[in-house]
Amino acid sequence: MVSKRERVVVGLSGGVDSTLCASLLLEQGYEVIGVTLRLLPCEETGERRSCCGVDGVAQARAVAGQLGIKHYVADCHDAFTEKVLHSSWNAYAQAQTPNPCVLCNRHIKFGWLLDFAHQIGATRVATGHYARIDPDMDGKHRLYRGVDQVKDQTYFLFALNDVQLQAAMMPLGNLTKQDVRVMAETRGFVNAKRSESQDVCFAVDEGGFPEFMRRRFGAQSKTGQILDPEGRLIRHHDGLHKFTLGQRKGLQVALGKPAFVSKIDLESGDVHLTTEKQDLMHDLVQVNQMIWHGTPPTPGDQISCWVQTRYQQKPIPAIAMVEENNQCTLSLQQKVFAVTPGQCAVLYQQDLVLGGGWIQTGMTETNESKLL
Amino acid sequence: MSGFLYLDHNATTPLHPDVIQAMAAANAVFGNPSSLHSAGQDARRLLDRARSQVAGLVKARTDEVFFTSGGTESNNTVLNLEWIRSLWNQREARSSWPLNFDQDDERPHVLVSGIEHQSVLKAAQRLQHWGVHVEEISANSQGIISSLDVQAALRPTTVLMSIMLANNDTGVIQPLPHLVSMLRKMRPDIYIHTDAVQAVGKIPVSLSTLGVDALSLSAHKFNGPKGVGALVVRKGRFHESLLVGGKQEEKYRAGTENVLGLVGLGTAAQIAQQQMDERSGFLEELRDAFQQELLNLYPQLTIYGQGEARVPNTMLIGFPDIQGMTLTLNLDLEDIGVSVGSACSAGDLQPSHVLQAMGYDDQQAMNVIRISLGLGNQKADIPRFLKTLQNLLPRITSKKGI
Repeated sequence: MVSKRERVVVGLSGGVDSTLCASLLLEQGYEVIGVTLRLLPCEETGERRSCCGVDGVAQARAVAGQLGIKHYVADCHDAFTEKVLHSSWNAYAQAQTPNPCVLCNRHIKFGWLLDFAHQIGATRVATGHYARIDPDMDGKHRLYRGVDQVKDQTYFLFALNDVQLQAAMMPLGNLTKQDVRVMAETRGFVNAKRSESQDVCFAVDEGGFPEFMRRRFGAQSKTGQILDPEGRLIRHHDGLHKFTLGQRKGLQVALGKPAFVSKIDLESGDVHLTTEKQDLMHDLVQVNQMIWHGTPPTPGDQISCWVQTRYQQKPIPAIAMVEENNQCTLSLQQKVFAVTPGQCAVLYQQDLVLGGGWIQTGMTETNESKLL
Repeated sequence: MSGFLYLDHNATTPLHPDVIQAMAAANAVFGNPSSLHSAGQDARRLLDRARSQVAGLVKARTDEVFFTSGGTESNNTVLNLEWIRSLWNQREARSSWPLNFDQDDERPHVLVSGIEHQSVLKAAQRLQHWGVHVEEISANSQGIISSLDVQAALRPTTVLMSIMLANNDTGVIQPLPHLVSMLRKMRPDIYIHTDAVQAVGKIPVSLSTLGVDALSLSAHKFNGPKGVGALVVRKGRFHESLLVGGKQEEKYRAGTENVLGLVGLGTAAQIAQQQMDERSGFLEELRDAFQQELLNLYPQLTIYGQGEARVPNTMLIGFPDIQGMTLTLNLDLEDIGVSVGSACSAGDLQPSHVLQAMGYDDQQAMNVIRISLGLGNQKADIPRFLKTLQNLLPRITSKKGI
């Protein structure tokens, strides 16, 4: 007979967070079904440990066995390739640095997986994310930081819409990572001490994620020169996609002092370096594709808020100047190093997520007049 | 798994209690059957007994039974370049290796049906890398390979044909004796192999009555253990080994024998032979009753291959508008195990290649589930299944599939 307990799907990665998530929900009386996502065709996982590699699936299956819950490995690699990987490559091809986790949460974990959940009679998808979701007085579902300020993952969840936030369950939001480890250990989960599952996107061998993307789509990446602060050639490089703004590591240059990528020129293929960190201190950020939670503001509004332009960054006090076409300019009250095009900017008021969008460009206020 | 209703016996079967017992007893006999000493002799005796039991089941001689790791290995042994090369060399007076890809009349031709198990299809397809000319023959909408189609496909260069005796998805039994006798008259030079994995243990299978040169069988389809099976080959018609090395299986299949597993295979074969009529009779009745009740409730269902001779335990059912995977998952959530009529992983459904080979479109080929009965199933399973289905269908049909 169909169970009377509410049926929920838990995204099981095999790691300790999703394991405890499933365990807690089971204790709370839900009918829990574990689902592990297969995000890449098997041949592509190589030797590296990853969420969807053999290692992760087996671990998730073991956890499901321990919990006594049903477990399915759901293959969504087509959707993942299209919505996450392809988009990510497009960003690299535009000399931007993509944020695949944001896309994955929106399109896969609470997109594809939510559809899958509906197929099997479940209305909710639960994950081990460190975040909290609460309905506000107007019935909208609002996203709040997890209590563990360091582990807080709202930065990657801002792009979820209200339907997704309503369907989502994140029981770890009120716990710290330390709490989670202790609770998992108490419940006898062997993965309690293991290091975390890296999200599968980074299950790559040589060359890192950008190169993995390039090979995956059989694409060309613009080659060019690496230029020193005076514009002199240092060496040639074999792909713009390998560089990100503010990058210091892996440049293979010796200028006598630390050098940073200051500009990536899509047209010429040149990568410019600077040895002056000051050159890359930004306090003005142009953001596109803004997603506002709650009641959307009106163009012209100015909102006091705290901003993160990268994950685990100390939030920066700012004024968000709302514009037309889902655009927004952020005036930061402190300078931030290398605001990176393609990354996301997420806006907060205390723990509440106001919304977020994709960074088009970062600059210093004194340059603003050049744009107007 | 108490409470779990298992209806997927074509995927695999539970071990018969007597098989478990025989294997447990054999644990103590650990010798290598190839050793000269007594420990080896004891093990060898177990193998001999198993061989004779298998031979009994398929009405073959003991020296026609070659143990393998299962149906896949047996199929891969025949559909192997070495085997084909041997067949071709027999025919050709001159050396023709490497093969000329461009000249059809100078390279061996192999025929398989389109409804074969993947271990036959993929092994056959791989032969093409070396220039072997491989062709697949489609089945009709009832899953039967027509002898006219076979005849039309024959070439002077045809060396081998492989057609399965019973299909794992539909259960349909090919009229092989008829096909084989026709072929023998027309082309006695062609080697005929059949993948009998889904038939052996369910229906009487006799090497000589079928008339084929070789057949594959697998223990875990008739309540034996997984990982063991046999290739049964008419005397003198074994061509080339897949596995070479030691002298096991009369040098035809190297590798220290899986004695425990083979004891299980032998015991299962013996039980199958002794109880075939009774068990098959029971299963056929059960399956037919099941089928009828399903059709009574849901007249819009398609039962693939229904009009043909089928193995007694199988039905492949098509629900208009419901994807097999969705139904399979939902049934599992109610502790009922069936299978989708094709290989798939949850979420990524591929259309059944068997139904495609029978001429059905992709959508139809995805909207199937397979119910296959076996040891442990009983009359009470029918109402339980139907009740569960009745509760599930309204919810499933109200939503769109992925």
